[in-house]
Amino acid sequence: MSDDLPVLEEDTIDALTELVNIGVGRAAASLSDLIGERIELTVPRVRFCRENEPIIQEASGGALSTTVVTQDFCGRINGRAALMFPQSSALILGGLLSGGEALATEVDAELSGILLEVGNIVLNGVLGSLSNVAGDVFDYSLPTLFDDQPALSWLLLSNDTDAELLIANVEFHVQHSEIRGTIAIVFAGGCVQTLIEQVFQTAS
Amino acid sequence: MTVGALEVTSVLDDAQRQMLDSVPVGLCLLAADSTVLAWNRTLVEWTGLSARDAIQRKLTDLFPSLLAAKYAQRLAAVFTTGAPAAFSAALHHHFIPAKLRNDERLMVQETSIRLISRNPLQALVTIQDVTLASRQLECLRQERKKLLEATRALEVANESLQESFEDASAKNYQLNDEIQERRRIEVELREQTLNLIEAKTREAEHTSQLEQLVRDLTAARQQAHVATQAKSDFLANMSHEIRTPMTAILGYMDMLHDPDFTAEQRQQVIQTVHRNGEHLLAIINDVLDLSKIEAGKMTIERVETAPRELIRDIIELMSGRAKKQKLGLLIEMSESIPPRLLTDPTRLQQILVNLIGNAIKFTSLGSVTLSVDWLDCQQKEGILRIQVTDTGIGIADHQLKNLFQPFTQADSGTARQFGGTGLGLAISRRLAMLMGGELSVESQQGVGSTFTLTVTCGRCLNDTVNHRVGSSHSGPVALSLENVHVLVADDSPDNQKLLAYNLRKVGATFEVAGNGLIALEMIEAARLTKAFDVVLMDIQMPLLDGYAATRQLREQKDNTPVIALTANAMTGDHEKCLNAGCNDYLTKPINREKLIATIARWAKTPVVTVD
Repeated sequence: MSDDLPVLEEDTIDALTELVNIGVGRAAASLSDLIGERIELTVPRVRFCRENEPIIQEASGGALSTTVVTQDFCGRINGRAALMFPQSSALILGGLLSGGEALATEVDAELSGILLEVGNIVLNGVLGSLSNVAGDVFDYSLPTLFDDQPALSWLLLSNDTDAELLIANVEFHVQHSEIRGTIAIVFAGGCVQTLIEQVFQTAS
Repeated sequence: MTVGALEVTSVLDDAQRQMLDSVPVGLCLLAADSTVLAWNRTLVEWTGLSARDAIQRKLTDLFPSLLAAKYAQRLAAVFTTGAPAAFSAALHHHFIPAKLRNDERLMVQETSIRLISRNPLQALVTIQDVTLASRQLECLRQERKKLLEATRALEVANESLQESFEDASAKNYQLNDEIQERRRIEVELREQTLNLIEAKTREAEHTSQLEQLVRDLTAARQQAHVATQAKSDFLANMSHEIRTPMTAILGYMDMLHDPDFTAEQRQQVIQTVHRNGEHLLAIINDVLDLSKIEAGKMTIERVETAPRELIRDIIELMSGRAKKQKLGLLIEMSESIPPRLLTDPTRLQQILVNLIGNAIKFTSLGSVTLSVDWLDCQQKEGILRIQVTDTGIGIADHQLKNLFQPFTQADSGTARQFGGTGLGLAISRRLAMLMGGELSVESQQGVGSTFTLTVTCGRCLNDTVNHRVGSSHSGPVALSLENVHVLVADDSPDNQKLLAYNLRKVGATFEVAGNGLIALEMIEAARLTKAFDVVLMDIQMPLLDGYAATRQLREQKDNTPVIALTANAMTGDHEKCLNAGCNDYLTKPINREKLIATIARWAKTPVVTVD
């Protein structure tokens, strides 16, 4: 990853934050329809960082093991999007969405399916928002779920030293519970600039 | 369109089509309006819907459940955004309803829809049968739920058990404490019970002792009563025995004042007075002997004695009385009797005189036999056994047991009929016991009695015999004390006259002193003229008694023989006389023959014996 982070102005950050919020907002609507119960998703702020910064660990909730759903996208802007849950949050979210007792003590097959679908919906929303702003049409991979793995190893694109990482903490509000996850999007080198240009071009 | 096979765009060849038909996953190709463009074999098997019936029909028409918003919106988004859609088994159960083989339940499916072509828009629906895994997961969850419930129940039970255990533990401690307390109480009770038993036992023993004491006291009181009664009887008897001769003595002495009495009558009076006086003396001697024995002051001598000679002397002494009653007095002596023995001849004679005297007294017809035997028991000692057998009146059985008790005769009438003090047998038995023997009796009323005397005698080592006893000879010994000069020292005028009379009778000359002081003066004065040959010294005198006078005499180196005249019969009195310096002693009342013989023995002047 490049040592030189893109110097983003506040307006840019705000625009990107709004972008992500639009995306998770759509995801929230889909999730609400899915489970028949109101869900709210909010992203307070996005950040850019390098892979070795502590924020990465913090983003995973400080947990050593996380559940991660990844989905690659490819167009003029390409990269990999991921939604990360600490295991405890994953178990709670899965129990709430399945409508049953939170009997699982680990991310089993049923819970994996739920998280995969949730990740698919959330990432589709965010990536859809990005593609709309970028005026790009993405090709997507199928969502993939990784359980009990250090999150970072799955975020990095191989051999791309210029990749840039966008981090956004997501708050899930379900049944008076607050569950926190993290959206991380790794952009291939140079894609962020392209994205920003597209954002401001679209805005104008 | 090919029936029964997957019809896709021309990008797939036959080999690819066959490969997709062989995949055990449901595959369906959809157009943007959800028209089914392809329907693989797996879907045909699952749904029962053939490819011909499915293709060119809208999926939502075939399965109206897909019209729901949760499916329709996401399916549309696949075509509009190109983003894939994933439908989980947990949230949807299935995408397309398909029944399981031989089962009424629907298949559980995981479905993904992905845009595979943009021109034309075509999306591939991939459906996976996860029924087994779902069921297994469900079973696992059920088991886990059960396990959790069981765990919770166990925890609750464990807590309850823990509480019960703690309660039980607390109760156990409490019980232990109670048990300890009960054991302590039990031990205390046991100790107290033992103490009570001991106390009861002691009480019983005390009660028993008290009862025994009461019995002993009662018996002693009875004995004392009997003894008191016996003593009263004795005193009454003794009073009679003493008064009777005294009355005779005094009465007959009064008769001597009668001037009309002839010489013969006077002689009878004198004989009567003498006889009564001797009887009175016998009573007094018996009482004194018994008192000495009871006080433990009686001493038994052990001197060499010739038993055969002693027995013969006694027989000779008693033969007069036997002859008077026309009784035979027989003797049987064993050959085994040693010629000399160590014993007390005086006391032996006293006992035998008593026994033979009683036998003669209580026998009116027949004889009295003396049997003497020697029981050779040990090397240094032996037992002399003497039996006195009579043919007299005998003694009743009920009277035998008290026969040897003092102050009791066979009955109170015996004293009146036969006389006697009632002390003879008591004295004789006690003397026999002091001499290491016994006195017993066997009797049959109307037949006679046998008294058996046993005394322990020592053996003699030499043949020398000092036959000191025997001076109680029966007949008078005629002695003359002419040329014997005697000093009589006695403060009693009556005794002075009596002694003077006796001395005069045997031809002795004499002078009289009233006390020890005068006696010493007279002895000193007589040395210049005619010294005294013998001094008869009364012990109890005023101013200077006999002991002191004799001691002073000896201090003056005067060896004039002094014969003490003493009324004291207690042990030690004779030794006192001898220790004071006296040469010999005579006991009052003085026997005339003894007096003359003793004076004759100590007088320096040769004694003339009168035939």
